[in-house]
Amino acid sequence: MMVFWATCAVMQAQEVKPLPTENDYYPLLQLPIPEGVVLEASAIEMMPNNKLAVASRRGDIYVVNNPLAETSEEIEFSLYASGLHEILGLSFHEGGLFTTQRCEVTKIVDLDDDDTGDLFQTVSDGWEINGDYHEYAFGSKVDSEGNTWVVLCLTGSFNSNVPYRGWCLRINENGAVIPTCSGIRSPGGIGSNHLGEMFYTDNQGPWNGTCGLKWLRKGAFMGHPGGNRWFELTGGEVDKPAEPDSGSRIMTEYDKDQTIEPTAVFFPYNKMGKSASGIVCDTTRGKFGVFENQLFVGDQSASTVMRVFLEKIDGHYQGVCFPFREGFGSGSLSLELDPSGAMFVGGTNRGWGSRGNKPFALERIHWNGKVPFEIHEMRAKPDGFELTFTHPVDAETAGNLDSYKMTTYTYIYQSSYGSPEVDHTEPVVKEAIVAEDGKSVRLVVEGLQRGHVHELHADGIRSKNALPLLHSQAYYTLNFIPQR
Amino acid sequence: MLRRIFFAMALMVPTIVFAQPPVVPGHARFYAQADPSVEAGLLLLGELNCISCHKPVESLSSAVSLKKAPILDSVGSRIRSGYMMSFLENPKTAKPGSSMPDVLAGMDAGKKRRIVEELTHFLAATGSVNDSTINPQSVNRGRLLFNTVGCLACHNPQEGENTAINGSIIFPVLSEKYTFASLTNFLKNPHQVRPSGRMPSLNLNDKETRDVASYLLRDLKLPDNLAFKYYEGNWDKLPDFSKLDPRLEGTTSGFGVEIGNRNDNFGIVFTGKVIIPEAGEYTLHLGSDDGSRLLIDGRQIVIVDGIHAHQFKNAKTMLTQGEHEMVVEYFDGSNHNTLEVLIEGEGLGKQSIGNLLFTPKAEDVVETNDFVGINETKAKAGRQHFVSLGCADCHQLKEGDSILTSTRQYQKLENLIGKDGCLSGSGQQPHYGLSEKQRADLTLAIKFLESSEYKPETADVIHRTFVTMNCYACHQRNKVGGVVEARRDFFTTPEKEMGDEARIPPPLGDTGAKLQQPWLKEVLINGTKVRPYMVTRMPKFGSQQVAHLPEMFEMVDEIDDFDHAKDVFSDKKLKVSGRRLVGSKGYSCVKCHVFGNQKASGVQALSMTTMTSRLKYEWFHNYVINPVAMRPLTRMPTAWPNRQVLLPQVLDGTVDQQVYSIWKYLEDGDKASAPQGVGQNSIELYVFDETLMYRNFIQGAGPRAIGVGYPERANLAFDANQMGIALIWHGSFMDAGRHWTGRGQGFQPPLGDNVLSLGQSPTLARLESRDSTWPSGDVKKQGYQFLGYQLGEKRKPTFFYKLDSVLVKDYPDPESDGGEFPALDRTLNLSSDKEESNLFLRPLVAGNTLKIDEDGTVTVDGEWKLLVDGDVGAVFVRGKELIVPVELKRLDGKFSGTVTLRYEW
Repeated sequence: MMVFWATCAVMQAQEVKPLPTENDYYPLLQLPIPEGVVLEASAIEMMPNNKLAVASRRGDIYVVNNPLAETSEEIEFSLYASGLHEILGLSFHEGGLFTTQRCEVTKIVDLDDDDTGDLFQTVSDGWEINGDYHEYAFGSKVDSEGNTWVVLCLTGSFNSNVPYRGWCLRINENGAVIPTCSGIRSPGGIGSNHLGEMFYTDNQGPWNGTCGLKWLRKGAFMGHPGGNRWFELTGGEVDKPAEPDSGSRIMTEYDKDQTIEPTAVFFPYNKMGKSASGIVCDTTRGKFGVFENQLFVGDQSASTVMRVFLEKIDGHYQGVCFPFREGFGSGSLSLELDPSGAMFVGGTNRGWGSRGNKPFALERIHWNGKVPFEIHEMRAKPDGFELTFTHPVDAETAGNLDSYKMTTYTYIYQSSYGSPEVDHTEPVVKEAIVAEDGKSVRLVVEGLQRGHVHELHADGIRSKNALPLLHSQAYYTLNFIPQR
Repeated sequence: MLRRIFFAMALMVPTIVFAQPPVVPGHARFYAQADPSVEAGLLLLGELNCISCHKPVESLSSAVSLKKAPILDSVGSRIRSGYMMSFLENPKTAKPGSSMPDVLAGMDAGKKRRIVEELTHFLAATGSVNDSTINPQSVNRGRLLFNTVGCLACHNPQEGENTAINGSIIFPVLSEKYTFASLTNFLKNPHQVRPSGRMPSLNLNDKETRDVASYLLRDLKLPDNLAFKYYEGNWDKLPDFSKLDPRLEGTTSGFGVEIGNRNDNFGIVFTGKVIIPEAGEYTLHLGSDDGSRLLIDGRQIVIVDGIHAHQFKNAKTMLTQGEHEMVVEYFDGSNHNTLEVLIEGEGLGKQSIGNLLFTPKAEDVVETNDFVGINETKAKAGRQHFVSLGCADCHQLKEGDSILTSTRQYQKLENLIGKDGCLSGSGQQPHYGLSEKQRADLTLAIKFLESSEYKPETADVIHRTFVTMNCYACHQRNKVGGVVEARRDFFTTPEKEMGDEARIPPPLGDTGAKLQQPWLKEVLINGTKVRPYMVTRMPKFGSQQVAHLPEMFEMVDEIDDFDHAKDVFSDKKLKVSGRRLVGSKGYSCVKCHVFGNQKASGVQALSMTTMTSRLKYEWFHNYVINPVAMRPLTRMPTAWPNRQVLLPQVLDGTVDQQVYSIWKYLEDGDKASAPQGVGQNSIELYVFDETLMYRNFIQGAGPRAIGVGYPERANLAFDANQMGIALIWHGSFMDAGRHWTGRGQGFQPPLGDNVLSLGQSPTLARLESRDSTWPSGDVKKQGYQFLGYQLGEKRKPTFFYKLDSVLVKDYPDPESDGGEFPALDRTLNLSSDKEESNLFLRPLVAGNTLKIDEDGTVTVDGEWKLLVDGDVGAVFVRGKELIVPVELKRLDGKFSGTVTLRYEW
């Protein structure tokens, strides 16, 4: 009898009002890759002529005409360049397409304006490769000083067999090479925030308990000592960090040596993907919705895009990640957010599987003007957190302590592969104070843990319109607890 | 079971036992049912070792090929004393069909027992056996090996219905005779103990030998060497066992996890003592499904925790000599359950740590019958028996450096006829238990040796060797021998589609005409495994037994001769054509034949790259044109049915030239470029009207290679690390399959033909003098800089690079209308803001020779040509380098020069 009633209740709820989904706010469009073209979209750039340049792992660059058209029939592809080596960075700058390939940064110029590249100028090949597939090079958009930031994957998971594997280099448009950060393991993407500060994603493996978003603070050490043998080549420009203690915690090591830049945001393994990738910042001034200046980060394995809010505490970036959009066709790798508010997501699952089962994909999502009910920001406070929301909350549910469940944990900082979640604690939410306008809630939490991910499930909150949160979970990496 | 039956028989017939006569496989198969013959008797004289005691006259000794008795040096470390005793007591009972005679036959039972005991004490004193446990997983692997690699060509299956095949060499109860270690050693190198090669080596690797030995000793019950505690519970990682109560406790032998009769949700803690033979660094491997950890002296060494499929981890540790406390904790959540603990280091091959566990001496003597403690007096008496009874006539036994010699006297062979000797089967003589037929054959042979000279034909010698070594068990030669019906099922293949040819070893009637001598010697003396589809292996017989065969085969084996001109086409043309013909756009040989270590897409037939080093050309020629005529059962089709040519455009459509071209191409062996269709996931890059580029890891052009495929069907790879063209080739451009499938690891060679390496080095250098070394290594540190390229007509690139102040524009352009092998024209434009001197080009490094003709043409390796023109000084050769001095000219305040190079290859 009980079973019967329960079933009825579920059925009724479904009939009455289906809950909104991501697609109700950010619909997804497949771009029509021509038949026969294998476009493992690995880097994307909107060019000044409003054509989209899309590079592939196979070394082609296609130009997409009409990339913002409403229907896929109006969108056309043409080949711009080919025969390049695993492109993982595109940026239009000073009349050319700055292309980061495995072997170099190349400026490609279309001399006769026929949408094909003619001149391939090597800007710099100031790092080495030796035939190992793992030695990828991800390049950023050219920054305000004319630099392409290149993060160089190690030779495999552990070693750096040739110069600058495991480093971030800044490559000036004139070819000057500035070694900028050490300690990189296996990047999946690179991009800056609205202030021009550069971030990259690094993947779970040695010295990386889980995937994370890291701030490329100039001169800092990103955590994996594999590439430390190349410090002597830098001529003392970058401080060499102390050799880290395997089996420690990243904040424990940071306390010993501030050369380390702690991971700004951990992406808890399995819960938030397994393979963090491309990064874009929403600087569209509202064209992409209400998440201005927040970062969007892909996950290749889960075929998702996540949302990240960052704040700067004690001189370091840290913050929170939320789920944002799932269901991409292949493994999300490259992201581009056009000023008009269209987000392009390129995918591949060659060599590494993905939830999206297509071998490659190029997709576009745009905001349709409806605002989902989400936690807008999560900020650390000396005694807890402050949550803001995209819609006013229902004061009763948001003020109810049972609406919140919080656990904390961190990862072992170690030389062997990955880490389980460790050092679990269960802090207590003592108070939930709803602001008068209903747009924020102040959580007073007993038992904040420095260096831990604070995993929050706010399942019980309802908006004033009685909707639950579109994504009720948040993962805040609390490296530093603010003093005020 | 077997043991009990013979034990009972021995009781019933106390003195002379009716037992199986000595088994000589060749005799059993070819002579047992035939009329008595001299040849059969000569075979037995050798196989039964008659002539070790009864020496024939010198002139006739070649008539008998002697099978030496097992060498007994240190026999006490190989054979259990219990077995020695029962074997000496009655060889035919302990080992049915043994060719060892009962030397004490007819003797009073009490006296015999005493002598046997004393002999055993003597022999057992030469060493001591060390027991270790048998791993059940190893038994299963060993069963498969024993049943398939070739053991069953001569031995009986050990399980199932078909366990007594005529002519089989029968095992004693092996667990009564051997320890795991001693049987493993024997299988690894049987010739060390049995020098006459009748038991060949099957070239088993260390793991395989242990597996086969484990299988053969699977009934061995050993004293327990581990204590265990068994727990039940539901865990996803190792629990703290010390806080749990065990369900069961006891002792066991080895790391079997089947203790609790439960498949899921249990844990076991094993404890024992490991005896480390030598101090040093050891690697400990721990493998389990699910989690486990290993502790030595209380210290955790390896841990493989969590739920997972069988997974290994290892760690190195220093261990002192002697005893160490070992603890292994294990748990299983669900599904499979496995546990392996292995050790290696300090001369120990990777093996179960069980082999090093302290094992209390067997209390249960019934199992092995071994006795403990050697009595010196008895051993001394035994030694006396060994020399006086004639044991030392057949068996070598070393004491220190000297071999024991026999004091027993015998009749000469020619005096034996009609005498009351071994042949009579009675009296106080070594008793062989010969069959009537064996006796008759021996009698004829002895008579023959008395009266005649022995001058066999070559073919007869080959036949005798085949009978003696039991080659006929597997091979047919001239319609004699081959696998007998009862054993055919033991020969297997994973390529069932290929039929019997894939599982039954090849017939050898044309061997001398087919195989080259060096290869044939390699096959016979060392054994080989070249047929990927055949599970049975060609064993190793040792040179003493078979070294005479290769030349004899060549003397007697013939095939149809033929004659065709071999200099109609150039080698270059032949090799290109041959490569095309074997590829997927030719006769598709690659569909079935392995190429080097790359698998074929269909069945996995013999590798093409070893053919010309194995086969003789004449045989290859005849065979590929009409395979069925030479191998009636083969599935190999001919590309030229009835000498029809299906690809008439290749080499003027002549059969003989096409066959020859394939041979010439395959002569490059491992160095031959793979033909089309080899390797999985081929993604060929086709070049049509426009030039195609491919920047990737190209073999021979470095990790920063830039491949360029031109519409004219000449191609190159520019090395952007070295600033020079590293490779040029004709025909197809590149296969991107390696890099565009999966993660894309490693270097890919060009896909086309005539791949020519010009050397991985800069084309331009500044030399202090004409003998200065050409720059190499990391040249970017030596002033070189790669600047990129620009695409021009037909998207052909001009490469830009710099050597400090000198800018180079390097424009390669293949000859148009150059036919199948177009030349490559390369124009290098050099410029500088300042006056330059000491600039040189090195357009190539030769493989062997360089010659500059009077007209300036350079001939390289006697095969291909280079022409140099432009702003150059006198070209010169130094070693294998061709050096071109460059002369820049002043023009409008700049300095520049142009050099053209034409490569004709």
